[in-house]
Amino acid sequence: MIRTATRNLLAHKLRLVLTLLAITLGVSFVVGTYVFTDSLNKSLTQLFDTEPADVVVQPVDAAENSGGGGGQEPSLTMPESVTKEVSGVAGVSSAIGSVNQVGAIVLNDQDESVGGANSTPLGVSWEPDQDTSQATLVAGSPPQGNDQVALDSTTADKADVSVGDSIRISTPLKTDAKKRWQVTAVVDIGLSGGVTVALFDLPTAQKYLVGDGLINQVLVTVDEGSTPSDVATAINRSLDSSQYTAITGQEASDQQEQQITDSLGFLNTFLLIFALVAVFVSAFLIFNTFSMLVAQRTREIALMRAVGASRRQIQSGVVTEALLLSVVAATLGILLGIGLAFGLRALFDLFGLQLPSSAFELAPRTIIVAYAVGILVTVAAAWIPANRASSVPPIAALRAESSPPKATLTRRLWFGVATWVVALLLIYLGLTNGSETGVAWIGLSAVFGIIGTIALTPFLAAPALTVMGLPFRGAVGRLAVQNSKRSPRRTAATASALMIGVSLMSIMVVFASSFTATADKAIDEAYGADFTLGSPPLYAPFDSELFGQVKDIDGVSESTFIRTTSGSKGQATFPGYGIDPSVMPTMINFDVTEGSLDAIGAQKAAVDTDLAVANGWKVGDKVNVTWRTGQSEVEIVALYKPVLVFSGFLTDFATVRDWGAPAGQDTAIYLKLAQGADAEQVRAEVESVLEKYPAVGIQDQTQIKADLQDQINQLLRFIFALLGLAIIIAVLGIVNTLLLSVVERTRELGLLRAIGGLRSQVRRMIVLEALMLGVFGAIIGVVLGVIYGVLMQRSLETEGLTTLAIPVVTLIVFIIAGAVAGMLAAIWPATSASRLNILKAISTE
Amino acid sequence: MSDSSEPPSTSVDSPSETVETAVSAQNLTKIYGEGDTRVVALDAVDCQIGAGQFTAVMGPSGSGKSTLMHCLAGLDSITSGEVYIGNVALSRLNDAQLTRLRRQSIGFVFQAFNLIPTLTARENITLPMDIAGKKVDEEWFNTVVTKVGLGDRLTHKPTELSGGQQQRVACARALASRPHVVFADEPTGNLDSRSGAEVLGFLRRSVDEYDQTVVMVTHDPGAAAYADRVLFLADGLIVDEMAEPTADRVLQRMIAFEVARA
Repeated sequence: MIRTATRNLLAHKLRLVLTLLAITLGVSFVVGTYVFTDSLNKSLTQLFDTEPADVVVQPVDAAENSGGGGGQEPSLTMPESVTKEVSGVAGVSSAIGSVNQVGAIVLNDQDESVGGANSTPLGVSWEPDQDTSQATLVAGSPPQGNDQVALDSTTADKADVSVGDSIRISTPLKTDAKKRWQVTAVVDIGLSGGVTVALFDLPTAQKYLVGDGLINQVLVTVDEGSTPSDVATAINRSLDSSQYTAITGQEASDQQEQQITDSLGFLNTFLLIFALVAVFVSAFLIFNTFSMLVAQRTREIALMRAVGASRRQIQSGVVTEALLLSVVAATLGILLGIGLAFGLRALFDLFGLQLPSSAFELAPRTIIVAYAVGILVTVAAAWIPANRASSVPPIAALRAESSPPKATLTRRLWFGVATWVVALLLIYLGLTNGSETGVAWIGLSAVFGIIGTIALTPFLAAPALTVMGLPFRGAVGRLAVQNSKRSPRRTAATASALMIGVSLMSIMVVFASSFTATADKAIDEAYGADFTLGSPPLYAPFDSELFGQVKDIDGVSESTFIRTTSGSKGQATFPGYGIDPSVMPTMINFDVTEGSLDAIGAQKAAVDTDLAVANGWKVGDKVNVTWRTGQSEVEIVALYKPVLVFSGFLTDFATVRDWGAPAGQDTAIYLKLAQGADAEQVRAEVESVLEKYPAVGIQDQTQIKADLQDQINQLLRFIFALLGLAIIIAVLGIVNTLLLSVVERTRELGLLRAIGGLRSQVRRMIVLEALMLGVFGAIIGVVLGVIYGVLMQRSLETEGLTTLAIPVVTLIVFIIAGAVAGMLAAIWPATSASRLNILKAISTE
Repeated sequence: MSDSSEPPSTSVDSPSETVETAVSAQNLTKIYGEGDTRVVALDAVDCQIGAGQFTAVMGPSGSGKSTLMHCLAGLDSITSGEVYIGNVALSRLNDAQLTRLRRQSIGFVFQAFNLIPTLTARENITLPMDIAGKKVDEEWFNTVVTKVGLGDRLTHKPTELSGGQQQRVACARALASRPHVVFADEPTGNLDSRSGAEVLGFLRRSVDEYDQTVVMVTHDPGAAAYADRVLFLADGLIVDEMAEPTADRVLQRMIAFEVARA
């Protein structure tokens, strides 16, 4: 049987190539995803396998691991005096203060970070002891004093500077983008991309990064004969454990690694979901291909049955064929996947998400999964048609002119209906449950809805194609319509592959449009300021000196700033804002439902209504909340509805500092213009001040909206780029279906040519078939996507997604794109159909 | 098709009348392959097909009779020589011109697989006119359909028709556009004798009643007996011809060939 199987495979090279391609693409996406994330993790592990010191002492950051506000929050600081206390502990050989803070942005000529907008800009104090330092000196000498800096090698390369050159840096404190720093050293940090590191001597680092007299960590070297863990325990005993904690260097590097791995963990899941979609779509392609191959071979199979092959032999023949094919394809898929991993990295780069990329990791797990997916999917997809083929009575097949008797679709109908019943039930649950669980039910329902729709597509195909065929009046058009309707099952499978990708994209755009529409409305209603100064998208803190420089500009009538920290209660995390209650309400229209914002003050705060309801808090309650600096008992003095970025706790500046907001750093400044002031002139003056602060921008209401739109679009484009692979596989599926149907219809096409069909007419017929397939798939996808997009919005209405927006133009573009994709897919099959040799075609047995 | 030269104005000798030429071949040579695999399928064949006549082409397997028909019908390229349909020289036409010529001037009936399975009988019959974008002459259509006896079967798909009915649909299609000439390639090869007789009778009547020119390739002496004239091919050459054939005379002639070859 193996010999027959290999012969079969080699005898039909075209089929071979197409089927291989389908499996290879599916497998490659899984492999690409794994290789990409594994390599990323390995790069990070390499980075953190050197311990910063024997023991590290740092402030307790109670809320850190909960993730808080989502961006990179500045590390907590402590007084330098802790160093002295630590050095007094038994077993400590030396203790030095260290600064390690985000916000030191190495600038290029365009005032942008040389590492890209989304890289982490670290500012670090130079450690004199090269044994414990995580940075190894490559060239030059340590930086000293107010004007000197060292850079990591990747950043130096990107900035195109070497030792002796000078560079501009935007620092969190004493920000001055015009100041030039002399590069005295280049260091290797074992990491390329994702982070830029600028190193200063300790006093300079304090002055420009955290504030005089403050440090982030104490790095301890232990005496010979003492173990790091014993010394850490001893330090913990002597320090105020509610404020500071000592951990071993090993724990510190593990902790750092864990944090980064956690924050990138979502990437893994995220990419694997897309890999799953790709595999699912490939499975369709493979299944479809094998069904067609087997259908074409019905007579051959019947002949084998007639000369004595058993059903089992026929089945195992097809399965063996699939097995051989899938092993080869999975191997190719692994190779292609490795290439794809680099493609993904390039894609992340393209979208400004620079990730560390020094390592390459092809784990055994990846290879096992690749073969498992490739082989299982292929064999399963081949077994069903093999089973169907072997059930054909030999005589019937030998006699028959055409394909095997049509298997009934009844079971498929019932399956489709049953799946949709489940989907509808889940929709009901989703809409009645509201809030977070609601949207989860809707998401689950979407999975059932898509599967149910796939099952039902053959029943939709005939009526849909009849309607779609109406504009095609001529003989060629009629033939094309009839051909597409010929095998509803095949049309359905081909269109479904496209439908999956399109429906996911449609859900995304409906969701994104509703999100922007909701936000736009909120901005219109609640935004009272004329200008906002900040550093989007993550609102990194900036030096509060800036406020002093803009508040007195002519034409500014009122001005205020905010400061930010984060806290948690149980599983919930939320921000804490420091505001000036006398000015802030003129900038943001807070809807205070109970109490008054004027009452906020020392450990007294306003809480957003959602958070209050979730925890059962009322005005007057005293509640325990964990802030970055530890637990506080906070009295609730007012409730307000969440608005724009504002949710969580609102309190005064002193209290928010106590909760961990960095001293002397603001996260946003709001300006209101005086009556009759020239907005453009004020803006120009603010902008001239901002020249020193390249990280900070000025925005009015329209710009905030545009900015938000940009961010959403950026994310959408990224998701589309990933879904693009599923679409490519689907288009290949159309190519496959058409090519095989051209092969099947050789005689028919020959006849058409013989009785006077022009090559161009044959070509047009195939193109029209493909076009209808593409449009059919896209329309079902868009309809399904809109249904679930709307349901998602409805289920999140109580969560604040109050406005539904359906981007009609984009959805129409999807359908047109479906048509274009179909037509592109038709190029090869149509050309090969039109080039067919008439005589050979009509004499084909 | 403007610069076609006139074909030689020969006339075919028939017992009683002089007949115009519908299709002719001059020095028609067709060679397949090269070197060791070189096969001369047609060796400088000259022949004239009379207009309004029913001509049968006979010969043993491999004699080149199908190749001759394919070359005459513009389905296959020729190595040298010339073929004229009416006064159009085929070797001067490109693929698109040939295709247009086929749909305007030639009707086909093949041995099997004559119909597009997705189209109804009616749609199959009108297909050549539909793809040419021409209006269907309803009166003629009805005449043809009545003649082949398909009136009540027009809405059926090919799979719902018997083999004989399918061949009759194919005949109707070949005639529906009033072509210059109809080529039939073993049209009864797959049919039982009664269905075969119906198809042949129909082709005969189209010649008698509508002056249709028909060229039929067959190896069945009984089928050849329906023709006005039989051309005998052997080894790529026309070796004989017979006017007013009967099944017996054709059979005798064929047996004589076999004996001569042996």
